[in-house]
Amino acid sequence: MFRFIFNRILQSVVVIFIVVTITFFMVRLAPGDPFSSERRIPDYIQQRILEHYGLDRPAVEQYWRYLQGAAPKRFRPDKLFTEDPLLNAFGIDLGPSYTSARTVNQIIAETFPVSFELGAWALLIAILFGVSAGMTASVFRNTALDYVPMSVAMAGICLPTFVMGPILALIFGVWLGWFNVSGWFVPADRVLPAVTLGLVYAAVIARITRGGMLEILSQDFIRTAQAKGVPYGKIIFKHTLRGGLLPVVTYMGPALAGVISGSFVVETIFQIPGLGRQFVQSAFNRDYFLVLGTVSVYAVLITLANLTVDIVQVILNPRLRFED
Amino acid sequence: MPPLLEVRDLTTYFHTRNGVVRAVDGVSFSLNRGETLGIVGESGSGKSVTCYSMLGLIPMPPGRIEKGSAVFDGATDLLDCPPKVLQSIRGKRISMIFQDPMTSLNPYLRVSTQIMEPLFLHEKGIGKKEALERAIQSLREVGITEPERRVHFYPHEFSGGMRQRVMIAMAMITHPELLIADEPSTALDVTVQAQILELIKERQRANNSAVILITHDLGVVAGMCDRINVMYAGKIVESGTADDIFKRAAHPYTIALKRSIPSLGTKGKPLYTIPGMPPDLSQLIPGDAFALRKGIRSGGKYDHTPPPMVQVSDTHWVRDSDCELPSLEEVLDEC
Ligand SMILES: Nc1ncnc2c1ncn2[C@@H]1O[C@H](COP(=O)(O)OP(=O)(O)OP(=O)(O)O)[C@@H](O)[C@H]1O
Ligand SMILES: [Mg+2]
Repeated sequence: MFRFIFNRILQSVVVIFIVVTITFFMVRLAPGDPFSSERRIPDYIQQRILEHYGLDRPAVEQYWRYLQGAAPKRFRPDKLFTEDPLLNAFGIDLGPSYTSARTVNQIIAETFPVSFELGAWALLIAILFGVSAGMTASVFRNTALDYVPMSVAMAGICLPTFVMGPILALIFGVWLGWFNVSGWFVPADRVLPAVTLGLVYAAVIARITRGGMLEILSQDFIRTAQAKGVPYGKIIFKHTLRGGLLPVVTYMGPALAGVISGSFVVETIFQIPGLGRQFVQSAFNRDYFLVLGTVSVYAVLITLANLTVDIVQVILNPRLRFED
Repeated sequence: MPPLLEVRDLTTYFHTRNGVVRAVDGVSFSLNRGETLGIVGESGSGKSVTCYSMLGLIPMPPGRIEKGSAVFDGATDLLDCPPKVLQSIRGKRISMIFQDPMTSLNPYLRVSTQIMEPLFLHEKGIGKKEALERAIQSLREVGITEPERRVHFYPHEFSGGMRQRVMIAMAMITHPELLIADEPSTALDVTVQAQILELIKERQRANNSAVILITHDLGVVAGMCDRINVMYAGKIVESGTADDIFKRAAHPYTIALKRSIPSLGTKGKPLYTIPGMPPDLSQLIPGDAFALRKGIRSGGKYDHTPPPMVQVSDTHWVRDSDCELPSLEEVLDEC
């Protein structure tokens, strides 16, 4: 078990390294540089700017310097809640932002909590609605309680976020006036973006849950439980749920990745000051270090999520515990 | 004293897209306390469905119990009683073990959890500690070594034969009055088969339980059963004591089954096989189902009317039939 976790962490580090490397050279392949889109500036000033940021150096040298700055150098859990936790707690310096007076570290420290909160609400909605709808559908298979939620889920899967978002904003923001159409100020501002982001995944999770539950309910050991006199509720919650939810756990990795990329769209639609919006803007601005910084955060997040999923799976499924 | 179980005219159909499958069609038998009843027949003859019907384990839909009764202990009709009552009987007074021990235990739960479950369900107020002790005890009784340690294992940590032992321990932990064993040894290898059957016999004696033993192997029931029901196409074709069936078999199907037991044939001679295939149960069969079998000659007496049960002796009934088995040479020629 511990060897398994250790191996997976090692793999994750390699994956993150590869992602950073590819991103580093890819952004540089895109035409233009951070300062070329600005108004014309005299060449000698342009030269000074490039020198200041080290952009006049060969790409490989820049890459090496970036890695040196970005590599974690220490771990001080007590400094996790300071102004710049990346630098203070881990010794990570993701470099300056070309379009802002702040460093990439500071921008991430400021915007990441917003995105994290949005993603957490969205996933919570997805899991709560998805699992309960899927379970209901499987328990009441081939009745209205199965057909209705599953049709809604199918519709939810088909509607992309950038359609769903404006529709919800129109209905609940403009017509009904229950929520603000955009912004991130009062607690109620969380509702529309989180629902927009979570609905698609709720729909997918509902379908996966239903399938997983039905699969387990058709197994021989359910008949054994019935023959023992186990009441129906216990058959569902004690004998079926664990195995039935395994596919959902597996899906949480891709779901998290999806919520992250969905947040680019949702944060833009609802004007939320999160990391996703920074990411989109930084790409347009050729803000190399900011692109790299946000990509790294996402890479770490997704690998962490997949690692957690793998571990939870092993815990839920005893048969996996002995395979290596 | 009333019989422990009295089944009358049990009829279970499956209403599928391809028509009505008449899986069990008017089965009647009775069983006394402590007695062992064997149910024998080819695959698909309705042995399992007969027993699942009694415990409410038939998937509905597509299954439906059309008519009949199964009175348990002279008081409760298992086919027509409130779900709560049936639940309190299942796993407490009637236990069941299944054909495939690899899939019949829940792979996600520890063996301890599963073995103790009937105790928590049926013996209200039993403590965790006592339940665990009983679980360990019942594992010891089925011959599992180091039960204190292995009770906490997951099913996949046991071999097939060991899992069937666990199933037996789980079924017997509440000292049921009736144990239904649905082909308990079919999925196991030959050496383990005999051990499992021996174990069932032994646990039966210790608890003074009645047993219904389902099998498609007449050889298995020979040494174990007081009474034997032979089933064909959802109906009982012959019913009698072990002696009636083995010494005085009257129905051609029973005779064919007997002739196909390897150990009863003469050494060196090719083994008899029953020609043809069992009938398709989704077609209505108005007469003698055995007469429809390819390679069986019949005089046509029961082409359109169902053959009646005829009493041969006090203990022996047989379904009337004018079918004639082909000889061994004819069967071999067919191949
Ligand atoms: N869920 C179901 N839906 C439709 N038909 C079924 C279903 N379960 C059983 N049957 C049919 O009922 C008939 C009897 O099946 P049953 O399982 O009782 O046979 P069996 O005698 O136990 O055979 P085996 O030795 O293979 O276990 C078969 O023809 C089978 O196709
Ligand atoms: Mg069967």
